[in-house]
Amino acid sequence: MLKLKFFGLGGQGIVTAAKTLSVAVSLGEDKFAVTVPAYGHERRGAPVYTSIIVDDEPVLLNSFVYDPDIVLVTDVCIADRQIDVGAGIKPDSVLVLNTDSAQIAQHYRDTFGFCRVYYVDGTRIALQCIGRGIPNSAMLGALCHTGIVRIESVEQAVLDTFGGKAGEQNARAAKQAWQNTASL
Amino acid sequence: MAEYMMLDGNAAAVQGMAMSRVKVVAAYPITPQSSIAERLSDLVASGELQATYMRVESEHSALSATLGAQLAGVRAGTATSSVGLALMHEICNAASGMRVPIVMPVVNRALASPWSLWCDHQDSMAERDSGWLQLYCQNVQEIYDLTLMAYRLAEHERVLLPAMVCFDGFFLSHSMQKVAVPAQAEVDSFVGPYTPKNVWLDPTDPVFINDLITMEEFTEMKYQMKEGFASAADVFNEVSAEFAERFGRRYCAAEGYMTEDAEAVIVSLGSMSGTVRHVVREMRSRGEKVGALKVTCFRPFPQKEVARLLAGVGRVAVFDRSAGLGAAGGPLFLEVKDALDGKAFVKNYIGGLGGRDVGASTVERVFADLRAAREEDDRAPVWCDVKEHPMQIRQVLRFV
Amino acid sequence: MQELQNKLGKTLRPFNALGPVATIFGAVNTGAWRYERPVVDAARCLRCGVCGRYCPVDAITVQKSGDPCVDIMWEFCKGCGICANECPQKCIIMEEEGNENG
Repeated sequence: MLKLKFFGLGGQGIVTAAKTLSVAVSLGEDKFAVTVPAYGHERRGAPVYTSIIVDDEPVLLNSFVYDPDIVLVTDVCIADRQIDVGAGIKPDSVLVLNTDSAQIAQHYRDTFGFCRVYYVDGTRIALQCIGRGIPNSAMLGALCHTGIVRIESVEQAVLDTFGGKAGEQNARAAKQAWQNTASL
Repeated sequence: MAEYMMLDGNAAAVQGMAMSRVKVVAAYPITPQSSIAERLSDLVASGELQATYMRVESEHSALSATLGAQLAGVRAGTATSSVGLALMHEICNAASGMRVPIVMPVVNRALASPWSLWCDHQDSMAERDSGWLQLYCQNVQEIYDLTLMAYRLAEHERVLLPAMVCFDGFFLSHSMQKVAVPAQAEVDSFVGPYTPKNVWLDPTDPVFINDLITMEEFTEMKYQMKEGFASAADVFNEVSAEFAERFGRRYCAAEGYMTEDAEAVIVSLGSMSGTVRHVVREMRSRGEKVGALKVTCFRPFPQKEVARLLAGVGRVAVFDRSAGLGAAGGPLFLEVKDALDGKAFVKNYIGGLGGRDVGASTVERVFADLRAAREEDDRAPVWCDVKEHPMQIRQVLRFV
Repeated sequence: MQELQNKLGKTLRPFNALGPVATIFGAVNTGAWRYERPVVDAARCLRCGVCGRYCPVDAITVQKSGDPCVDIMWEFCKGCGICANECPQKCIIMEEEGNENG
């Protein structure tokens, strides 16, 4: 069983990313995934988080994730808002971060204690491929480096979830991000 | 052949209603049910669901319209949550008394006050005496499956009672999970077309349904409903046996998980039942003899099954996700305690109210408390996830 | 016609209905509730149709020609007086039921 936690700001497509990952893992790779989103008073720019649990067998656990194996953060400013993205992590937990800066990635690694950080500028890639700075699909591409899902499954899931031209653009964003992900 | 779809709880409920070919929908939106009303509306607009969608001004109207439509001879549908269900209360009792087998998804959310948007069983528990059958779902697959089964159960000529298919707000309604969805032809074959079996509105043969009933006949009509509930227990097993044969998944009114040689068992309703099983599996791998009991059919309550599954279990924790205020315990506890009739040490745990998560740590704490409890201890319900200083959480300044 | 044939083709059988249903209508029509009835002054009536539109039980038919100008279904008129109230000509009065003009 692998537990994931996605952190972002309202409007960055965190919940969609979780759903798309679920589709990729469940339908694309014959595993099982459940999403456990957290809803409050919704507004753009508010910190949002969601939990995903992935397993080879049907997932019984149906609560929020408190001890993530993988954390994905779509906005570096979240940590500035007193959100502890490292809450409950284990020594072998990894981080996927939306940034192009090795410095920031290193800072996250040192501050929170992730054993590995994968990073890519998902926002810039999204702007290039989709024309809007919504980094969710791009970051799913980067997520593939953790080994939880293959890039082909993510591309197909993105195509199915978004559909049409948006699907193609988002799938391209995922692939490009996957190709350009660096790690520490 | 079944195909897998990724659906959240609300989408699964819609999938079940649409594939059962409801012909009239009258739904009023309320968080966290809203996407049910919206999705049904989309399906009707696109023609994928051949039905009439009635826009109504409140939940009271929604259930009234659904009741009227079903009395006119079609399968009608609505869904609600929390205070929406409360607003339907009058009509809930009317529908069951008139023996109209409406199937209604209820997305469990706390009743105000305090005003909450989140998961709590208070809403459906407040309707436990309304004469409706009540089913509780552990995961999204169950939402789809139990919806199909509910039509067969409710519409059965020995039952003829409306049914609520209850599932946790947000934890299931908004949780995307993998669901095996059979082909439409298979669903048609299982659910079948709707044929009104009791009384219905026919302009060529008019009757007056719900006329004034005096003390000369009221008791007998309620007795008829009691017989319906008695039959429902057997019909549930018949329908679920057929469902298992056709679709490969078996449902029981109450289902044990590793209860055979368990020394301590937690009984629960809804999505937390999955979490309890997860914890039981982990604790068992450490050699601890624990088990889980999930109640799927709360009304009629499966007294015999619960007693049989818990026979020999020394300690039983009953977890209520509704407050059970002013009573000896929560509603599930009262039923289980009565079913066990003194044969086990039974303790009530109240928690997960108003959307508070019931995680693995809460479940572990309940097992620990249950095993450490002494026979002579106070038997009042344990509020197992209450914070420290609960009486002081809202300190405000005021002029005196 | 088809409905009638369908019905004739079926036999009436006793059936144990569950719950509250009534098939024998022993009640009188609502016209029996009336304490007063509307009386129309035909000479001043314009046949405008307002009374007919306002009648809450749709018991009034206003005829554009012929008698009576205002045709009331006495089996259902409850004597509520709305027609008298709304008549722009004020040519409807309410008279106590049993008065020989009724």
